[in-house]
Amino acid sequence: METKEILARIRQLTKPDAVADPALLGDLRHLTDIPALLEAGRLLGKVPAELLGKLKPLKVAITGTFTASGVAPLLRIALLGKGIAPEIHVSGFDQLAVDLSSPSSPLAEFGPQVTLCLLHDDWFVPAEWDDVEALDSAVRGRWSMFDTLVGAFTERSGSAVLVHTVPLSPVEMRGVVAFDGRAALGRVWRDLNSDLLGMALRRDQVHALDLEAYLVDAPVRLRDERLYRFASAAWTPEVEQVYATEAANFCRAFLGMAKKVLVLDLDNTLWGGVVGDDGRSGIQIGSMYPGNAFREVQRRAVQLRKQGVVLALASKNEATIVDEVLETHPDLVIRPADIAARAVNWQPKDHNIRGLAGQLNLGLDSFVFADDSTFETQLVRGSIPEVTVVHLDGDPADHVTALQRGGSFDVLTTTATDRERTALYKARAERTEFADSFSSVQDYLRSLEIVVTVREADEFSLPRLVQLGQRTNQFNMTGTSHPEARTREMAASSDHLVLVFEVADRFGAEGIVGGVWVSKHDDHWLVENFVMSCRVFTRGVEHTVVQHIADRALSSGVSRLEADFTATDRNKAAAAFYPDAGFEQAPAGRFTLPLHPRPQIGPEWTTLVVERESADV
Amino acid sequence: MSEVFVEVADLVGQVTDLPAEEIAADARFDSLANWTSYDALRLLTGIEQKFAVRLDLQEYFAIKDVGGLVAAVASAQEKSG
Repeated sequence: METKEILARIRQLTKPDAVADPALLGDLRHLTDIPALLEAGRLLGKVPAELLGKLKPLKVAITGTFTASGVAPLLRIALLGKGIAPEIHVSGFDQLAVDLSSPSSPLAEFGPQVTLCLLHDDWFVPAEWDDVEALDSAVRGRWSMFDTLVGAFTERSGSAVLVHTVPLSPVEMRGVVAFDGRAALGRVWRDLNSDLLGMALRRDQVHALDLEAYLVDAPVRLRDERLYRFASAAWTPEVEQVYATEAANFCRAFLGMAKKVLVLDLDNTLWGGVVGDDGRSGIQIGSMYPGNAFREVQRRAVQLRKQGVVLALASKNEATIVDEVLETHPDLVIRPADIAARAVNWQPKDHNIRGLAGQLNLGLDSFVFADDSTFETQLVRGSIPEVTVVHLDGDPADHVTALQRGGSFDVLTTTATDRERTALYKARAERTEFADSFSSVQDYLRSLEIVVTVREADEFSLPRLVQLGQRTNQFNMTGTSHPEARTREMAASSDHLVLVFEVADRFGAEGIVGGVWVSKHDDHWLVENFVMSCRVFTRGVEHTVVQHIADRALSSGVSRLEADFTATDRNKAAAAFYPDAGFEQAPAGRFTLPLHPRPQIGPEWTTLVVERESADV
Repeated sequence: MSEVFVEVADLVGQVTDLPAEEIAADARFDSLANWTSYDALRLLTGIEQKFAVRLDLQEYFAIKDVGGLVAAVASAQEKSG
């Protein structure tokens, strides 16, 4: 979505006769560049909160020792994105001491619930200093004054105060030429920051944000010397953005709106590979890359569990295989006792997440869902906008960062009961059953514009098909696969048909995801085997392919389509397919489908493309 | 109309809440509605981000109209490009 379009929508809402736009807040995540965020945040300050949806109000005051004009608009955007409608009071330049000490200051009269104190290095450093001891005593003096002001302010106003660690400007640091001197300066500075952090541990209403530590993770410059000298702006807009993001997380924690549940996918999220196909010993998990990246995901998930976050699973898999892996795989960190509820089945994930919310009796707005699949993340984002969705695309080593970055689970403090929460919810989940009502997944599938391309296997696609046949255990109708030689023979023969198919949707193309081995007989065609990657399972792709085979068989003049099926302990997911497509059970592991009248198998939401078809004689 | 002009007019529009179409090259900053030195800094930040350039602050504040800013951006781009 275009930045301009979003800004125009916000501008529309500032007009006197504006109509509510509840979808706007969800679309704000498309704004990424800071000037656009600044403008959007400034404009949103003029929009009545009721036009934006159901939001929790919060009064926030911003005061400080320097000019930070970007913090208010950036904070507003970040808070609105978390369901909080802030009323923000911004004090004038360098009003900190007056704001905190005077009971009649404009800030005190505003009556904030949260007061943000923005500090910069020169407020602590004296204009002239020659030796580090003198600096130390001056910095300590300043800090002690600040500490006293904050203490008196919280007692008088009842407002929570957020202080932060203060990065030291490189100009100050490089001003000292001796390495020894720099070390001494660095230590004085760390003592100051340590004292600032200590305020949060000493005073109930004071909290601290370790800004210096967040900046380590951001590729930004602390200040623009021109804007510092011209306008006393001690932070670049990028630093303002880092601060505003973390301060908004603090505000969410302050209002008790932290997320409570982390719903995790399994394949390629908690381990590498597809356990149903690769097997228990074939998944990537362990001490070597990429297995160690997945182990780290598990370790961090368990760390969240120990701090009170409820873990749940939503995975398209055979439950028995997953149970076995979770209980017995030697390299796993996460174990059944860590997981409060599971939805391991072949149902759509939005349906499963609603089911988990019912089981755990927790609101969907307290859920975070993490999955590597674009399909699943878009489905959940569209179907349940209240759920925070984390798309774990890219390298598995980055999964942990992606999970942590949103600060979704940030709370003010954790207690002993947080550690016991999983057991509590586990018991609750076991008592409740899934509610079976669902319809919207079809709307989603319709919106995907799924295109299934079918063609006869050729020199290029045949190796991939053979490999797919060997690798696929779940959607594999016989549990075995045709060897390469036999596949080649069949592909070359006019009595047989070997098809491969590709799938694409509006998110991209999957390439070859399956194939079919067919032998042609006088009065019927036999599907000897049908394999498909379970990545595209439950989207109607398999139905579309069988529709194509049935139509092709019908036009060659045969009266029925037959299909072989052999049950294995891995292919339960596929077992329901032929009956679902209208086949009847016949003796000896065979299914049969009459072709008169023409069976309707394919769903209306897929488009079939047939490439390079040879005549069936 | 140059591409730089369109982008600059967009940013001026964002900062002043005026429709970008109404911003002409000879529009003087000090005659734009609600123009303050704070708006000038917001515009500077926006321009520097958008075009990945760094303007000389003293020259920037000496610029009188939108056309002058477009020229300054173009020359800064040449220097950095």
